[in-house]
Amino acid sequence: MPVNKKGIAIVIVLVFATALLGLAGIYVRSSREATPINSKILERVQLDFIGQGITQLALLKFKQLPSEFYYAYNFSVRDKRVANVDPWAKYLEGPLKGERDEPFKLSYSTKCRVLGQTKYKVDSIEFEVIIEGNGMKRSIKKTINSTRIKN
Amino acid sequence: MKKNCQSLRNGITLTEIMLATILMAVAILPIVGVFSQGHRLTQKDMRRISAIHLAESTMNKLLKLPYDQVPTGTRTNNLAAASGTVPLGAVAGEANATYTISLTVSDYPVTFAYHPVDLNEASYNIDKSETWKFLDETTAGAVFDGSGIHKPIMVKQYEITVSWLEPNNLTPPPIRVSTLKANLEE
Repeated sequence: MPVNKKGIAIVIVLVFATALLGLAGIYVRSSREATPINSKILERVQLDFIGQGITQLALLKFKQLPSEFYYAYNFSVRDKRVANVDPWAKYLEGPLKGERDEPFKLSYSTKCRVLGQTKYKVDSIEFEVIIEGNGMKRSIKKTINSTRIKN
Repeated sequence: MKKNCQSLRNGITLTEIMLATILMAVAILPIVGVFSQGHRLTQKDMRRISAIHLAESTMNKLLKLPYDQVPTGTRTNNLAAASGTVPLGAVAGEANATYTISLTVSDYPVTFAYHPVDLNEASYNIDKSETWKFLDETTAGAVFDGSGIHKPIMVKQYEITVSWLEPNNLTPPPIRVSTLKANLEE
């Protein structure tokens, strides 16, 4: 029985071209998705640097007011005492907690842990800044060794 | 007669092939255009990522310098400090682009508040936190806004800006990263 092959080439070409168009569509879609990922890279870098900056403020406050740091921390965190105003919560406010509108809307807060009080020897203190914005959350940690001198 | 009929069939196949080739060309041309556009977009993304990396590495180099070796103001040429040089200005990067890196350093006034402990309280004992009486919030000795000799600026804001030109001479939005550096050396 003879097989009628009329028009088979056009069918093959149309199928092949449709497949190619489909591939091109996938390629365009993946290219469009790449740009938002780039924006996320920039936002992550910006969050990390701002977080590092807030860590610097925390270190400066500790360097300038070490006694106030230990009084507030030992009272509220180590000994878990309660006062009308929580001195430790207040210590972590001001420049160490807040919001910014640049480069985009973000908020940040600072936590701190004394990893071992050796009393007038060397303490290890961990500062952690948590920064959030544009659906991203980053944690920047800085640990220092602090030598206490009784005066 | 049979030979003529076979010859006619061969002719139809040739027409089909020609038509198919034309169709193929018509289909492939826009696809080539799409891939070419995709390549251009990829190159554009590469330039942007390269700019982000430049901003990041420049800021990291800057943060390694001591506080007092980074002067305030705007710079578009290399910052040569005693501890090292931070490349600024025109820098050749990836994807055939030249980037311009600039640095702006500004004072960042800061004031810290805290609750001091009343050391004059009769029951005060340094080892017993139950004897500590916290006074009202104060900023005494913790104002660093540059308003006096005892209130020096102790924090600077660093902002790195990286800009570049696209091959079509358009300037995309520059990449900006900023951070704070405190004077922890004094």
